Amino acid sequence: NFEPRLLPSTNLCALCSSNSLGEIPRVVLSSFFLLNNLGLEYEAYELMAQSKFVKVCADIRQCWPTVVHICVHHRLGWVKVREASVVMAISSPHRHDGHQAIQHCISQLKAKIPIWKKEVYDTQEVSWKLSECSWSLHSKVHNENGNLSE
Amino acid sequence: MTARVCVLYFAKSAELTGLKEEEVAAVPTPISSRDLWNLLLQRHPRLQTLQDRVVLAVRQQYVAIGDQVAVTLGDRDEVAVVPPLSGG
Repeated sequence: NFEPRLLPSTNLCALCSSNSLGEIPRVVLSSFFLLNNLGLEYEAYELMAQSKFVKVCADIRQCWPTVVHICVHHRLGWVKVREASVVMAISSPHRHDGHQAIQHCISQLKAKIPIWKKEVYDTQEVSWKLSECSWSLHSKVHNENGNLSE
Repeated sequence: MTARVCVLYFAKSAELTGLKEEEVAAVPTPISSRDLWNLLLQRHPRLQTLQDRVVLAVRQQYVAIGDQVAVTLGDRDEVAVVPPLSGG
């Protein structure tokens, strides 16, 4: 879900806590807060980001079949300092699975989802952030069949 | 054969080209992703700044830039220029 407005973390917990299996779900919540800048401007290739997220969720369910709900909200556009830009919640009756699944979700978000942010400073300087995707380094390694490893 | 594709520019690449999207006609197909990138470089030499730190996305699948990487294009296909990601 891409949101231009403030993220409702309590709603995410509620969404993830619906108890269709009769188990007590544990909700692992992860959010990222911006501390040192004026703000961030987020941009996304929205259709592709949606389909990539669907794949990440499918992978999560395959690796951790006890996962019940997955909710990811990512803000786009302007995010002021001290506001959360991403909130994720994953529920599972097994806390360990929930933790592992959310770590995987975060790392896949950073490596695979076509979203970009630039830092905006009060000096009117802007800077596009780099991250851990495989082409952010000056690497000469090319995958010969052209498919970036999924 | 050639195709008329819709090229999308994101983040730094949009700043470098001054465009969010453009239609590019008469793109040869099939084409190596290297040649496709070079075609975009010819149109927008400032994209050189992203050399070696960029991939393409064709029909919403990532494609690394390489001589051995073959891409087939059809009319109205989306080709996106994808600078290093920074979601989250």
